[in-house]
Amino acid sequence: MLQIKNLTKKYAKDFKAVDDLSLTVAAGEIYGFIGHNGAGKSTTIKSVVGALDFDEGDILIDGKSVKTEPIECKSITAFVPDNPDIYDHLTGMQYINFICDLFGVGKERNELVKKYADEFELTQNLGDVISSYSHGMKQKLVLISALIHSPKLLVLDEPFVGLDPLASHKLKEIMKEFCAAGGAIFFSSHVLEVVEKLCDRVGIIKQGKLVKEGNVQEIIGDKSLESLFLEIQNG
Amino acid sequence: MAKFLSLLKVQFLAFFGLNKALKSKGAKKVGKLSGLVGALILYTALFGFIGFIYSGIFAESLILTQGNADKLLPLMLAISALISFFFSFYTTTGALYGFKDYELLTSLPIKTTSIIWAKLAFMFISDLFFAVVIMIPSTVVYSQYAVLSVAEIVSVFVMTIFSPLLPMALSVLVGGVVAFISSLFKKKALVQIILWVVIFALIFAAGFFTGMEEEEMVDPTLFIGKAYFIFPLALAASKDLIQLLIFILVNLLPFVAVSLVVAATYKKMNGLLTRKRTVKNFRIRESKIVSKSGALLKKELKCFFSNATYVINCLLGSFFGIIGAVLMAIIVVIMTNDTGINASDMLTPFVPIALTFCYMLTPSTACAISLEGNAFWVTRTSPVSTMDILNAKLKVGIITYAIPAFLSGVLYGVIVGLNIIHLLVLSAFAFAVGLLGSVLGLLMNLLFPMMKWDNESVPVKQGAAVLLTMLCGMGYTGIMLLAVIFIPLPSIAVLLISLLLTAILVTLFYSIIYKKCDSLIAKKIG
Repeated sequence: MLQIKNLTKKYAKDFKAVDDLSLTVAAGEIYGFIGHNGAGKSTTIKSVVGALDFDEGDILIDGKSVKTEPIECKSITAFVPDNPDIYDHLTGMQYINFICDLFGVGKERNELVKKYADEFELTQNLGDVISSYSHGMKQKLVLISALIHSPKLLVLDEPFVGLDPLASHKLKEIMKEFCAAGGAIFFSSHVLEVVEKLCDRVGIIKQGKLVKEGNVQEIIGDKSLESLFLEIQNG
Repeated sequence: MAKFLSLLKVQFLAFFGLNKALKSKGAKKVGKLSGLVGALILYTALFGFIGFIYSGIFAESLILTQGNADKLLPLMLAISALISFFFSFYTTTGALYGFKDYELLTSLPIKTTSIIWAKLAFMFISDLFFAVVIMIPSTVVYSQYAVLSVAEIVSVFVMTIFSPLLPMALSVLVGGVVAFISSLFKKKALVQIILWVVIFALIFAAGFFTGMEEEEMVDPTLFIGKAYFIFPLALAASKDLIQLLIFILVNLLPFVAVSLVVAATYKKMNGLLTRKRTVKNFRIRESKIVSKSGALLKKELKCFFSNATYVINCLLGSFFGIIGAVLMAIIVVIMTNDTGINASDMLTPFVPIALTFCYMLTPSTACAISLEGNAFWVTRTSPVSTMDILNAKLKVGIITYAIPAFLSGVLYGVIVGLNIIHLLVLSAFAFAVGLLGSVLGLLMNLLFPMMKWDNESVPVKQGAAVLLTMLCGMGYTGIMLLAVIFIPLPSIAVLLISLLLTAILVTLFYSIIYKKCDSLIAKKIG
């Protein structure tokens, strides 16, 4: 579903935020992408979702290039950023309708809104302006609007930040259901326990390079993901 | 005092991205600082030049009508006080109330009065800038008509320093009342916009229509002289030390009183302004499905009308454009009826200049990209092209600028009774100018986006794109003026040439946006 081929992104002449990174996320798979602050996670994620141009390599989503067919790629991808900055002047419902209109979601949207808003316990707040929302409520709204257009690829940057325990649990369930239905998830998190339990495969990025990648159980062996991560970072 | 100075310093560093410029490295630092210094010099020169020209015109008119230019300095002081009033009123919400670092500042071990004084001091310094750049050229002009003693110069200097205080106090008070009333409603921004328009209209009416005689409408000195009604204190500007002291006290005391009132009510006011209103028993209803472009336009319009500062800033040109066109048309009709000379032949050639000035001043597009701020990811990761996003912003520009501009042209033409061809060309030109302002604003915002800000007022009022668009608009107005004066052709022919030039510029700027938008966004925003 997602193929990143030799991705390189430079921010200055001699600084490569992402350096020749390649990875693949298959349909039905949850891929955990971890690394320390400034390792290049967000740059990679923003390149995948088309929010950032890159210098070398290519990114394919369902066989289509982000560079040459950006609209087609975006229409089957949903993105949840690390900080849910959205339009504060809209109400939750107006925001969801806006996203639905952009992604061409038809009349089925009402049923889907009800389903996801109930699951995240946000239905009662959808009539309020987003500026009155807490961080967690905004995060829930972004998650609902990401799921509502039934994407094939879900790209999540620190999706659990700000969520209450119930919503976190619900999100994990939804992620599993999403993959069981054939979707693919590429997500970053600093909560290594969650990554270890939730992901099928994991990739560790350090200074822009993918230094370790593979099936979670295979790469950690009898260690924990946390100790492997620390080993790599200190090594 | 140290805390007050620290608060003031923080505001200065945030102003026009000064700290970012100072902390940049190498060529970037030189470029940014040069840009800032250049903009400051350009603004000072521009306002100084305008002050100089107007002082000259008023002085000549005073000599003609009153035999001396003694009222020149009080008149210019009144004008600078009016500017202070509008400027402070405009910045009360956003800068004084409802700013984003409110919680941070109030949690620090600083007295509320220190916060207020620091905020007001910053407003005062901004107002003082306008007062100084208006009064220095005025004093120079006045010295050509009268001998000024050192004591008089000192007196003018002291009055200039103290003159922004009373208008500031009044505007903070009125701005505070507006903020308070609007906080009582769910649609705060809309109520605030309505109240602002009402206040502007009242001041406008009080200033220009109080006791207006027909001859006053065609005499610019008397016309502007109505400023006396709004700021009678300017009359105190004299050579008398006692009156000077009274002037100082009358400015200073209300300012101190208002500052204390603001400090005492500050937390309550902020609480009201940031109060969250929620809908009870919300139910999901059938939603209306709209196209992608419709959804983007809807979102842009909601963004526009949700921010009172944005609306006032952007609709100021349209407001003055329409009112100005109607007033000018009325003057033409009165002059023609009174003198029997066709005043339209004299004044109509200058209408396009006034329209150019009004409709290239502050288009909504000049900060529309910047206002996306951290939420720009929403549309950038959606299946829409960059041009779809930008076209929606341009449509708001057309609605708020090009259509009112067209209307101004039509209103003027109809009231004056222009022939149909002249009316159509004038209206088409007005539309084209409104469109040019919007396209230019969008291009400037693509070139100079300001995506990081603490308050929505910052990109609206301090963005480089906004300032550059305004300067370009003034430059284009100058070109139009030169065309009208120096092209030896009938006014309709000059208008047709101007229409053609404007259409070419619109096409050129739009094609640059069309071709370069993706690369510019990648380069400038990331």
